[in-house]
Amino acid sequence: MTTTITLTDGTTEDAPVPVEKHDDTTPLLEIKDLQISFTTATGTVEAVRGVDLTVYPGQSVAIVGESGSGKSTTAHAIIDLLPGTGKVTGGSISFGGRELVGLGRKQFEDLRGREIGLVPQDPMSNLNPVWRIGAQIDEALVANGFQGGKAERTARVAELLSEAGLPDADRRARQFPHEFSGGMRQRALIAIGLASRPKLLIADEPTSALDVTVQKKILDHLEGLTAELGTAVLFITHDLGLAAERAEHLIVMYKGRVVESGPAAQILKDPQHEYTKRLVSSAPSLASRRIQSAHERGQEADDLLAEHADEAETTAPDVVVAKDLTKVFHIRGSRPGSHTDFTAVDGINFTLPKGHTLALVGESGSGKSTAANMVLGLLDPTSGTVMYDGKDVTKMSAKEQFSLRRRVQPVFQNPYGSLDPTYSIYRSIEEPLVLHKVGDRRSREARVRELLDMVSLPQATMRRFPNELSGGQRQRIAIARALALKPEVLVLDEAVSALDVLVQAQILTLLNDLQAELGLSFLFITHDLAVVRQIADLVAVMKDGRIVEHATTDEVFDNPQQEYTRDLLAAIPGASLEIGG
Amino acid sequence: MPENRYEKTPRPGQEHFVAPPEVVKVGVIDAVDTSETPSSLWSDAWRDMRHRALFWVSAALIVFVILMAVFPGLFTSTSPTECHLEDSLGGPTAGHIFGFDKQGCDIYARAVYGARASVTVGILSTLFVVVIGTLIGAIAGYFGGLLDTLLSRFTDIFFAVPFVLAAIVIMSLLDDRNAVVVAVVLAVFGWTSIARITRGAVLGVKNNEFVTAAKALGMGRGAILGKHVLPNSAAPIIVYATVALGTFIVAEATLSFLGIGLPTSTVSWGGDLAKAQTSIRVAPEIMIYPATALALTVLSFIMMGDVVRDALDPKARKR
Repeated sequence: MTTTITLTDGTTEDAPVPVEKHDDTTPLLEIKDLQISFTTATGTVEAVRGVDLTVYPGQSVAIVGESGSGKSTTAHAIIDLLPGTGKVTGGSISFGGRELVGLGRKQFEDLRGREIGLVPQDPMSNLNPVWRIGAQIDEALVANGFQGGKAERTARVAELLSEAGLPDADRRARQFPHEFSGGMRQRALIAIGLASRPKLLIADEPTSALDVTVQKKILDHLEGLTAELGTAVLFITHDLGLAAERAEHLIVMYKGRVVESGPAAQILKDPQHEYTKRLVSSAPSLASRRIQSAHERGQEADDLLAEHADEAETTAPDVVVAKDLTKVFHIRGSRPGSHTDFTAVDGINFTLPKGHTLALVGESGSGKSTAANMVLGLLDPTSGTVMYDGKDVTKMSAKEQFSLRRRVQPVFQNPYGSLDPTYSIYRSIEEPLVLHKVGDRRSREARVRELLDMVSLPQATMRRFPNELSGGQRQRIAIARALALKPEVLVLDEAVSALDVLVQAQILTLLNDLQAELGLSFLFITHDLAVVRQIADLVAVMKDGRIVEHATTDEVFDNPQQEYTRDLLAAIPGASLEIGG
Repeated sequence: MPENRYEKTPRPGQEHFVAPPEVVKVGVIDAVDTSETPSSLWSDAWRDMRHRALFWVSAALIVFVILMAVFPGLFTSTSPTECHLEDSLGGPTAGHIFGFDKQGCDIYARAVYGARASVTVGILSTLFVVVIGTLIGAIAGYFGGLLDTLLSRFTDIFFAVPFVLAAIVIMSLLDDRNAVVVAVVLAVFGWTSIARITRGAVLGVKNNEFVTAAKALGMGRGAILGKHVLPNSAAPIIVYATVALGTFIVAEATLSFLGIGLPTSTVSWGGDLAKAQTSIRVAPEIMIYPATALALTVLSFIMMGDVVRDALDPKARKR
């Protein structure tokens, strides 16, 4: 390890804080039998139960787990940032040979930032909106005892920002967080995290809120930077592919315990624990092909692929045809009456064949959700048409439009917003039937029970309220409600994006089974190409309101034609890994 | 990225470890917990309130005051208007535990009968403001655009008028004054806060995905507002209304005290306070009884509002 660092603009200079020579054989961080519990009104909840973890200097280690597995709690315990009533009740955390459990507040303040840095999860809320970016990095320098006057600090701030990969750092330092994109904010947070050259950087889901291409750039940069500085990185992530790609040692947590840990490659190639096996098999970034429906699972795989490709291209009639679909939004200007036009969707064409899945893929701002809302009839297109079985939606009478509602139904992204919290599950699912005057009371109840069976939820669920169900269960209720009127088309707008990997795989399998059973057609809106491979027959890649590539899923994945599609594919975490099994 | 990093032998403490399957059992993915009793916002709120002493104290007081208002005969057999001047300023005697006021009326009986005026005006004005305020606030918030601008500015105009002052001016112009008239006048100048609160709550709810889902079902705008948006905006309205009830009772007492509220023939705490004022130097205790009754009633509604807010909005809960 040299004591110079390379800045991103290519210049080199002496590092202000000399990087110590690592002793690679003694662990930097050693956690033994860590126990953490939270006190709630109903009693004590043991969030972390006997976790062991070792990080060597300069090494990158990842904790992988679903929400509620205790991965963030473990990481936050290291720097005494447990929320609320959380308390370390047993075990030891040793950092550089020093025991951290039981240290005082002042000692932890000295440790944070200087020796252990943190890159928090949400770049949108972790920068103070009323302070300039530079002032927030300056604050970190002052808090960590940077020696030097104001001018030196200002110079250092610019240096840190450009090191984190922000060009034109002097000007950027004077800007406010709202002038930054999500990726730029995350870079600023990385600059803060590394401001005092800590020996360990805790990165808590550092990129989960960002688009995949941005995520890849930032992680690549972080990897290079920490390698140069010799900083050890502890990644906290729900994404097994990302963890395997970025860390050499993996710790898989489930329900507050470590279920498996070891070298990343070994865990991926040969998972031993039941939970790890499930995780590896359902991680979308590692899956190589479409999920089979229950029916197809009985068939030969080769026949099936051929059959799907054939159908997609030839036989099935088109249910939905979008032609030259355009949507222009007027954005109000600064002066009264003035406005600028923003073309969210720019003349796109696509067709959805009956019984198949078309995925509209794009990053945030690509116009994919606007397109979905026009298909759903929630937004009127500025020009162009959406046709169902050859009939133009915009030319339909109010009555025809009302009956069209029965044929196309949505499922939305946010499982916490898609069900009315004041409605019982029964009332939520029954509502479409009541509105469209289907059946009498008794037949409606039978239909609700049937729908709950379809989405594999116990019938007793119908007397519960949404707040009692998990995200995945709510999403299944939302699917049941969407299916109540026996529609032909489901518009799934990021329907699985907010769910944990295993639950996501479960919902995707359910959707696939329902498609095969009921002959449904899906318009699947997503930012996640990895999921597309599991569910879609056809893919349309959107960028800046236009469709840049439109082909069958296999063609897009095996032989992408556009540079942008190739970038998207390369940015899938774990895409570069060869996973056996 | 060093290519050979996966091939390294693990360092001490990083050997491959697998938890024994019996230690961590992997359950069914995402199973529904059917063991607990079903709960909703309202049943959770009830469960929360049930365990709080403040709720029971204020509920008992409110029930007590309402009983007094509806069945004053249960508490006293003396008429509040049967006054004998020879008892003027008389001390407590058997059957007249609080004594007599200047006119020789039974103070206890008047305190009991005074509840009716206060409670009627309080409940009626609260009802009126909830109806007017919710309607205007919900329409402004849900439909937005020009309608929102017009209704919001209309609200601002009323907001700028001092509530009690305006009521004084209007009341002094009216000849025929009774509880309903007082309630209407108070409501006309008192609905603005509820309108603002409702508008804010509706704005927060209307962009939820369940509202979009209802639109995609073909539900009309009015039905969505009534069936989905308003029920989800109800919590802050209920909390504010409970507290407002107390302030309307105070406002009624203020008007009656000034002699422009309820007519002197109606027994009311505010009117009694005004009358007691004339003899405050010789017999201050005459003022204490209606004042205490008024304070306790208002306090019980404000305490109840506090409890309801804590139960409906866990974020505001102080621990």
